Amino acid sequence: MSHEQLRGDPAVMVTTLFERYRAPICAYLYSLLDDWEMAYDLTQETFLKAFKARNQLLGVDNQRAWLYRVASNLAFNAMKRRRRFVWLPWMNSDSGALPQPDAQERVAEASAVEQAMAALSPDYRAPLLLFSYYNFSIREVAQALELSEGAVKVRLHRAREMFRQAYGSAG
Amino acid sequence: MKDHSTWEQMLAHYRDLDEKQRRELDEHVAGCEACAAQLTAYRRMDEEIPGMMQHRKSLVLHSRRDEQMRAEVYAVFEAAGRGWNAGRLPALLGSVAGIAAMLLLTVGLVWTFRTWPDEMPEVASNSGPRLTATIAPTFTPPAPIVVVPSPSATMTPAPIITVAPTQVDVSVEPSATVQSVTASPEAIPTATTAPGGGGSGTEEGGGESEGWSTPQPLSALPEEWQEIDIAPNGLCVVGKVHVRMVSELGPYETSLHVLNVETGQSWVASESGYSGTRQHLWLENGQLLWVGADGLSTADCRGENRRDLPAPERLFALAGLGANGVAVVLGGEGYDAGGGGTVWRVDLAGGVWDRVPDPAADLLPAEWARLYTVPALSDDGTSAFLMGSGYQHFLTRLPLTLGEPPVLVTRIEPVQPTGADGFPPPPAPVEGSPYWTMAGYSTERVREVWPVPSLLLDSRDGTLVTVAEAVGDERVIGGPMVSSDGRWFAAAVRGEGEQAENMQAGFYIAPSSDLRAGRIVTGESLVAWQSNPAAVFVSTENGEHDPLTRVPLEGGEPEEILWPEGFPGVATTSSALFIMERNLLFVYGANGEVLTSTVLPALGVYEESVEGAESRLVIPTLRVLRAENTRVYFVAGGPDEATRDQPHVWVWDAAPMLAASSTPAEGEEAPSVEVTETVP
Repeated sequence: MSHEQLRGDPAVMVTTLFERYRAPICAYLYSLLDDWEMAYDLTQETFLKAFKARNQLLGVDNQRAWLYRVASNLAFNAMKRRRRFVWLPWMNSDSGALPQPDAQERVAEASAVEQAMAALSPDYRAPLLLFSYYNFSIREVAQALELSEGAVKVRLHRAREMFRQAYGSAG
Repeated sequence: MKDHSTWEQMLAHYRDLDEKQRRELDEHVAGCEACAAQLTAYRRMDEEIPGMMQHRKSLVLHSRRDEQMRAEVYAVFEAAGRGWNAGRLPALLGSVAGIAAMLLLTVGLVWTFRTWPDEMPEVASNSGPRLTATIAPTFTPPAPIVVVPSPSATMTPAPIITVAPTQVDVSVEPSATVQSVTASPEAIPTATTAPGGGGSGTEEGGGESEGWSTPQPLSALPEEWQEIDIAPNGLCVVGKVHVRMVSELGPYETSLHVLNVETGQSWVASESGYSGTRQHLWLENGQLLWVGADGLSTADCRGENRRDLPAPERLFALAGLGANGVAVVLGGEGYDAGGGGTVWRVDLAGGVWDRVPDPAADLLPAEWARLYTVPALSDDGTSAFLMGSGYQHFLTRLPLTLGEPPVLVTRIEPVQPTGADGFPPPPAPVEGSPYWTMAGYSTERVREVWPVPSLLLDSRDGTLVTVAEAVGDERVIGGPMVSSDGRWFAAAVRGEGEQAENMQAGFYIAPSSDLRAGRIVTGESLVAWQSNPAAVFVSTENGEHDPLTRVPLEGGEPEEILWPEGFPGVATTSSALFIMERNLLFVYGANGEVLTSTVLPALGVYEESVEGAESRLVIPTLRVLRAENTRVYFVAGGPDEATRDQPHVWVWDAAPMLAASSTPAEGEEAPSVEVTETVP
């Protein structure tokens, strides 16, 4: 089987997409979720969905945008679930206060860029990352986040301003 | 008429605007200070965010969780595939995954060899010398070397010498050094501009220093330049502009701009390159050699006296120029087509193009993809080395003589470049050593270890070993740094016991010819080699100051040289070791003595007040562009208030001051730095 023929094979296509996009998608998901384990789980789920839909995916023009749309949906759904359930520690401390994770510590150690990015809500982080780092066009960001192009422009502008302010105070 | 908020919103997606919108916005920005500042901030944002994301992506690829995810995903693919297309999928996935992984991970400088027609394409030769296509003879590779698992090295602990510095102070304050070697005003040539005249923060160095050429503004280059290079004579600058990203993991498509600093004019040499690949070289006659889509060209810095060598196919990278005037060029479809390409040898004098035959013709089926990293030239300029992969991994030596077949050096166990966006070079021979360095690669075996140890290729049997295995001491973990004369290896050493997490607990140093005959020096780890190594300089941060320690290679006690602020920048050339410290630049001699120094361009220097800490001077825009012989090239702000925010190229040549200080005073030893001048 030639290389060209392999490219047209749905299973090979998903494999290739997996090898090509798993790291950037996992990094994207981590940037939205701030949770590596969940980022890996959802990356895996993204590609399993892609494999299930491999025959349809073969005909999709922008497979990258398709993958990010799936990944973004999974991330936003996970965040909704996370907001719905609050996990309490098995044994409460004397003060009754929830133990604070080491997030603050990590933030303090993080670079100014990371701090600024962390200051944005995922709704704003997603378009900024897709446009600024993943080099998506406005149209592609709209496809990936299932928003109108106008909404993407507004969010992107707000995201940039929020980032700018946060970066100024972090830096 | 758009309101201001509309303009602001457009700034946020400037890259995505069409030409008309961009022109309108540019006109508005030209008259709106707030928008100009906003656009600058957004551009900075777009430069800062990728650094964070690249790091995160790299973490993904280096984690064991990634391995686990891959295994789980492939298990599902395979299980589903059995029912769907039983029997074929596992093998297919295996091979394609391997190829895809390499394609992905070798990033950019990877291309696919395909079966090419027997006949060369017809080439128009209406300009330049007549083009002749020479087909090299059929390649018959030697019998492949059987892959042998790495030997489990016998770990013999190396002798340890603990740094017990004698606290040798340099006895000259930086400012005093500057004053002592600053030439008198009469000695400063009229063509030079002394740095520091007009900015703040120059109080320490004070006066003018010799050796500075007039800073050259880069304003004629497009503002978006990302990569920059300057000719050895300092009169020509090449800037590479990133036009668009080919893929997230791939490089940018680029355009190459040439700036003549004498005329302030720039011109576009090529629009067909990729970031991270070399597209130009400086020739000894001062001309520029570059690769464009249609062929190779040479011209002077004004773009005149141009000579073109049309190519038989599209080109996109210039791998190097051999000592005999034969260039190695990469051509084909490039990354836009996801692969497809070939290697060419070009005799520049004769205008002969020689397509390199497939080095893996007898190794791999014709329909399998061959993936290659960019070739690296050997030190003597007679060969190029290519690392190739096509489910098998192999290293090929390509003689830079037209018609000579490539030679299969070895087949080795699978390797992966570390970091998805790296452009790792092929293994580099080290003269006098059986080991070749392999920077930027890992194997499945060593990825189990964190941090991923650096690899060496044992040229005697083609096996890959870690530095620890070659040295015989598991504490030695770092990537080897080879001295400029190739005679010495140095590598970082991790701590023991409670200090096991400290990956920079010291360094190991050994002759290249016998890596086991070395010693460990504890307490220091950052190595900077001298130009003519009699000693190695090392540094570490200890919270109070960053001492510089000189460790004699042939034995003897290390000496610590104390500096109040450490040295953030080090550059070595064949003639000098430059160390930057605050706004001063020092040249060191072979015995660790300061030979001369200068004040760095002061513009862009400001006093930064850090909460809870002392104020310190920083030089935000200054960076070393290149160091060559006795010259150092910097990019910094302009020489006066009006130009301080505009990037300029500054050149400092230490030669006059070294010459002035080379006459020893009575009872003093002459400085041992060798001043050579090869710049045309």
